[in-house]
Amino acid sequence: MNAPEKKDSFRLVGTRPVRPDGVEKVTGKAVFGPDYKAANMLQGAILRSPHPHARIRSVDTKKAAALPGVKAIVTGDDFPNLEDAVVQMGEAAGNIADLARNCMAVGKVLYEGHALAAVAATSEAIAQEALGLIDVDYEVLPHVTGILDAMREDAPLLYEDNFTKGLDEKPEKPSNVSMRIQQTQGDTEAALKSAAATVTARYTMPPVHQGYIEPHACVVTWKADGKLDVWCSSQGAFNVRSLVATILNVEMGHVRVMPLEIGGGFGGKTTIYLEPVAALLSKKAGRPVRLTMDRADVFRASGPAPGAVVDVSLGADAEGKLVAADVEFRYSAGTSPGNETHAGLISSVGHYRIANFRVTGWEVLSNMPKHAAYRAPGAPQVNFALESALNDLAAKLGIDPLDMRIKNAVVPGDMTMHGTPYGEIGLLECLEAAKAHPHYSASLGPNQGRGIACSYWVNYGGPSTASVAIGEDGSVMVIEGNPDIGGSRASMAIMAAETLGIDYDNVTVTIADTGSVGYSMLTGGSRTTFATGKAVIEAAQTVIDIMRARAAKLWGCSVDDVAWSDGEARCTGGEKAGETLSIGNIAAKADSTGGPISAESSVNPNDFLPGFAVHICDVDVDPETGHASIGRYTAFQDVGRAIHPSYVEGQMQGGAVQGIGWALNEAYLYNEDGKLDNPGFLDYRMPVASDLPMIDAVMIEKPNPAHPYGVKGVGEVPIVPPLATVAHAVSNATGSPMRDLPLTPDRIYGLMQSKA
Amino acid sequence: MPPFDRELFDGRDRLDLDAATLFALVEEIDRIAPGFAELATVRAAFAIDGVVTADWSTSLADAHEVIMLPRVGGG
Repeated sequence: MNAPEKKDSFRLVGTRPVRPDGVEKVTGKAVFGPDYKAANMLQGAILRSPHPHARIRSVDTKKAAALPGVKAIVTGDDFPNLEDAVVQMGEAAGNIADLARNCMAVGKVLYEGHALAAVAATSEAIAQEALGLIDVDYEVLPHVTGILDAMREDAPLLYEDNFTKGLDEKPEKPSNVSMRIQQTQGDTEAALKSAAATVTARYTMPPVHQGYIEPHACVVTWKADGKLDVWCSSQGAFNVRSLVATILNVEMGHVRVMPLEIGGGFGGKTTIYLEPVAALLSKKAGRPVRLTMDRADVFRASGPAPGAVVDVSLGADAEGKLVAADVEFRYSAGTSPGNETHAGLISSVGHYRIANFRVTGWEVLSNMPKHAAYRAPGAPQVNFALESALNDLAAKLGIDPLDMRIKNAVVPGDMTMHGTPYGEIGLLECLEAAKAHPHYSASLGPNQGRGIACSYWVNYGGPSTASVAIGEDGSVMVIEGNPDIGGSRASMAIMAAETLGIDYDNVTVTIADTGSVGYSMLTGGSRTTFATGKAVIEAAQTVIDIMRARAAKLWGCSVDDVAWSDGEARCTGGEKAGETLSIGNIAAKADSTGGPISAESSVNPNDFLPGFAVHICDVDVDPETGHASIGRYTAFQDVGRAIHPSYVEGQMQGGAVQGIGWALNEAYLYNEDGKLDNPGFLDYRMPVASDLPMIDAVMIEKPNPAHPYGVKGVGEVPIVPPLATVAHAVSNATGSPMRDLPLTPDRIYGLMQSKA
Repeated sequence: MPPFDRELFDGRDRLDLDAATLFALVEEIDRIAPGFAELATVRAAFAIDGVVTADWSTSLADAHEVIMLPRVGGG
């Protein structure tokens, strides 16, 4: 779709109106996942494994079933017996049988917190009491949680039939390594040998959680006619529909998913955990069933992002031109393969022009929950290693780290790691803006350090549907199928109003259920404002065409003599020339000119562009405790064109804060028994507002020429650079390289002491 | 592109094939690597001479190169 109006300025695009859902949310009236109640609803509860790895010899539910108030119990035996099959899951794909077995264990439990039975009862207390009456006979098995431990030949195996894919020869023995992936270009070893300077180091980080405030929750009713209604918050109601239908072996059209407000997702709500379980409980009980995770369940049983062990060798010539990169990364995946390893590969070195590289990725299974997407999934880990090595290399060469990046940054026309050319990207503009910013030249005091890093994320387009309808009084309704997780109601309303030429307040945006609008891929991959926005604009243009035709009928002129401007039809020829008709005028006569006025548009755009970010951070390190605090933080990002700048800045700030947490505080801490020691926000320390300064967001607007209003995805790339940025700052403050995350006070203090 | 090269084509990263459209190309590749057609629907994307396209009916009459890309999952 080409731009209808490639203007340099707009009436509404780039303005900051109040978000349509704001009042409901700040007054506590909005209905989120755990808030929803259905009439005659039962409360469900899930029995979770206390062991990280065990064979389930038997599950005896008789005593629980006899407890008054218990209406249904399900175990893995109640699930359809699914064959391994790769199906679409969001933008990528996964094995549906793995997902089903993650919702409810069959045969073995694979991590502490793995669900293995569920109860529906007339109250939460009864459901919890019933869980205690379920007798499970476990054969406890050896477990493994560490990446390198899980890769050992003598490691306990999660599966006897897992053979590493992607090796030159098929292995003879099973292992916990599910995949090896490699991409090479040129002669990396020779180039490293001839480089003027090289850096070689290992970087590590544990898994971290997405940390959304709202826990997973759903209400499901399996109705007497065999159809299911599902109420839940997620990043994609259509994704929930397809996964639930496939796992339960029911027709997709028989599952209707009603999206509730979402209290944070960040990728972690692109999958399902509870819905099939609640559905089977409801089928047995004949009543709606609610399931809700508590915070410990969320940490123990919903997907963190991969931990990583990354080795990097990086070489440059004397002028700072990168000549070779050898990157080998190992990502944890939890109990089954995911999509982060490939994303790690394409996110590793593709933002620089490097003639010679070898990037090798390993995906490693272990007794942790099945991992899930987290903002730019797979990119922050490898980026931390590559960018940290680049900072060390710049120091070794005596070159300013920003100048080194400017020398090597990709520009439009350079090739991506996928072998396709970059379009109108703005990495160089971001780097130059960072260099010119007062933050970069501000003075530093004692025990302070400054760090920088930059990053790339691929972004996405994909299928979306939206409709625009004109009410009888001329009001405008936009209906979309993408949950609003970052202000997309506002951006859709702006784009519709801009296209129609009307006020923002005249547009109402509804997030529809799966029975009320055509298919939309989930809200993720930084795709919604771009792709669903295109659908909204296209539908609005069609509505304009319809209203011009209706106006022509009312005026008795040719439609060619009807123009559309400033939200009204203008007659440009014949007797009525010079007259205008508002949307309300046209809507009032709709029944007598052809009926209701509406249009639905479905798109599948692939002309998205990637995102780039450059971050600068100042830290203060307390030499007596090793505590690092963020003194100043500035984020630069190529945002295309910001439809609603406040929400673009919010994405940049939110991504930066989550990345800062990853760098300084956050970690999944498994003990020797394979159990998570910190399944709560008291011990899993995420940054809060009082920990941080205001994140200064600097938007670099280099519009995407393929989008009517220049949109590029903005939601994911800002989480990528903070890890290396913060580590660089702490390294500069202390004089010690920081290669293992998180940079907790004890770790920093220890490194400072060992240096001293 | 990885991981398809090793997973399906014994490490080969280039194939010389004639096909009128992407649909025909996928069928052709499926003959070389059985199961590819089913896999491609959910795991692959295609770029024709550097331009990613979702329309598999696109003509390849003037195309020089088709890159088979794995889809990347976002968050």
